[in-house]
Amino acid sequence: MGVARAMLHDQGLPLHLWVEACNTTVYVQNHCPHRILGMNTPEEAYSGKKPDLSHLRIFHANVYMHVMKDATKKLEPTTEVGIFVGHTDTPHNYRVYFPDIGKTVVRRDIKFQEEKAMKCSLERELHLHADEELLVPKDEL
Amino acid sequence: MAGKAEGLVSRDDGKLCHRRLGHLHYGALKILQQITTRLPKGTLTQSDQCKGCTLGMFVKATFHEKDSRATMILERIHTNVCGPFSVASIAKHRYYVIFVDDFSRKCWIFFMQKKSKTYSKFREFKALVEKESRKKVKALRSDNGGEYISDEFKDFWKAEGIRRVLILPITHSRMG
Repeated sequence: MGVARAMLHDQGLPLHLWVEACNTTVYVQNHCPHRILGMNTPEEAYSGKKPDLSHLRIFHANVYMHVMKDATKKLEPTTEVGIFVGHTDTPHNYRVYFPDIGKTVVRRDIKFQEEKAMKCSLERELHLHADEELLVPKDEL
Repeated sequence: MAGKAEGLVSRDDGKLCHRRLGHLHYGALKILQQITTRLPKGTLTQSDQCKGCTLGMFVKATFHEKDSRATMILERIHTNVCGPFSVASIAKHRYYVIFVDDFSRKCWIFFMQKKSKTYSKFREFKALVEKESRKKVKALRSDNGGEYISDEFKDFWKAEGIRRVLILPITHSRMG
């Protein structure tokens, strides 16, 4: 639960996304080393296969998706913008959230843009530190 | 003898020291006799039971984890339900149930709108992992939550031959 909380508050996300955050936590932690397994991953201990981690991305990264040709008119953009909120059991299939309509879908043809999420995280870090400085009583300065 | 209480001459010096030093345990008393001077002689033995200590210093039994690891996947599954969360998800979920395989430590998470769905989620989980690994779930370890001791759960356990391990109340450290 701590990891899920960190994911949500790192990006300043609405709390109703806790389900996606918990789901991602479980998925990611199944692919992380565990002390009891001698720093092996649970996934490998369970299935005996070495897990491939090339598909992991930052929670809440921006994604661009291809729209099926039938669903668009000739001059409309052929991409949709959403937010990455988790993995599915099939690698390289991702859960994407559309904040405007409040829906989550599973998509495959995706381009990630993690820079914005990374920048947002770093900026929030700076912001938090700025708040800490304000909390120091004046006579101690 | 110096330091001995009056009228307690016939009593054991060790017991006296034990009480004077705030019911100090006998191991520490032995050391104290070596590193200090003029402490009344005599040591406590383990059979000496002080009523005050029994009533006031009783602690929880330590939890030995090492003797209870599973030796293959799905031999033992730990489970717990969490919720209700104050904020519901988009699909109105307020609870989740988590299943942890004791051998591989792999987790599975399922989200629920009601706690009573735990039973159906367990069946879903069981079907999924048994087909995937071609092994059977042998034991399920949970707390005494109402969702685990419902009649339908009990019947399912009996029918499927799953050993259920309900941990004693208020011993959450035994949850996997």
